Amino acid sequence: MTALSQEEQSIQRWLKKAPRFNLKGRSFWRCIERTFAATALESGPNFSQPSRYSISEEFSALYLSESQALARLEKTQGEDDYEPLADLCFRFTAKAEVPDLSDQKTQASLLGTLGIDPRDLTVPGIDGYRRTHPIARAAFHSGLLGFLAPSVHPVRGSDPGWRNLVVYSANVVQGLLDRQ
Amino acid sequence: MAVATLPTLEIPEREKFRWVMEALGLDLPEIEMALDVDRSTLRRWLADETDKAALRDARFRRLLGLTQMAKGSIRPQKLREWMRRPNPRLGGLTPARIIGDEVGLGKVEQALRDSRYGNPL
Repeated sequence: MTALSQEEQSIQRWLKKAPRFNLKGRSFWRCIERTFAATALESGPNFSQPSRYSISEEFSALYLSESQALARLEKTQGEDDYEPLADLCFRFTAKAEVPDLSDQKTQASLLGTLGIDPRDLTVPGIDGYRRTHPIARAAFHSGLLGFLAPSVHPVRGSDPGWRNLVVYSANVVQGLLDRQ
Repeated sequence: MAVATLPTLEIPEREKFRWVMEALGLDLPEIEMALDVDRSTLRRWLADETDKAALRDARFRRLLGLTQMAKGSIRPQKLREWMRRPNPRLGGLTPARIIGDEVGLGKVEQALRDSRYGNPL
């Protein structure tokens, strides 16, 4: 494991104390090409290249969205470019607690304690990844199964469920296994 | 090979160079810039149905790779539009305009992967 920077260690300490949101009973969506539907819960492709909350060759992440509309928007960016898509819904059946980085109080703490502007989490596009990666490294190496994060896409009027869920599959498995 | 008839993004056996231009919707000046080769070389590559010389070019192979990242995800006839539209994943830059630069090409590859896997913006 690459050593964490001082900033990342500070984020880790902050994450330990951050309020948790229980996912049990909650549903999350993923939009993917119908032909790839069987791979919807694979995070592997994000291991070879970075994404908003994963770092290449270090750890991967699986991304889900709290609503069907947001999952589709994250996939398509509002464009009609894609092969036929499937909107897949997954429900948490067991207790799973994660920090919610979209929560206003949590964001205030992020800014007040660490000096991280919550707007850094929603800088669009690939250039925004460098701002989210310290949080990703701190979260992954803390063993968190993931966290809720705000979407770059502005909240639409009365649309409920405008959060994304970042899942660190390796940490989920880690919680089930004991290293011998 | 008319663009509207491109049924898939399967790389053809022959005329790969011509096919890449059509699949990505690049004209001669654009592919000249993307590959950083002169016009006479491009014309030779276009005339060679076996693509022998073009396939020795690493940047051309990366352009072929771009089409394969899109395959199964972006519809063949839409890839050209994707290449020519300002892309929010690229901070509003247009893929076709930045693939001539090493960093730009890398970002276009990344944007295609992110699109394919449905990664959040």
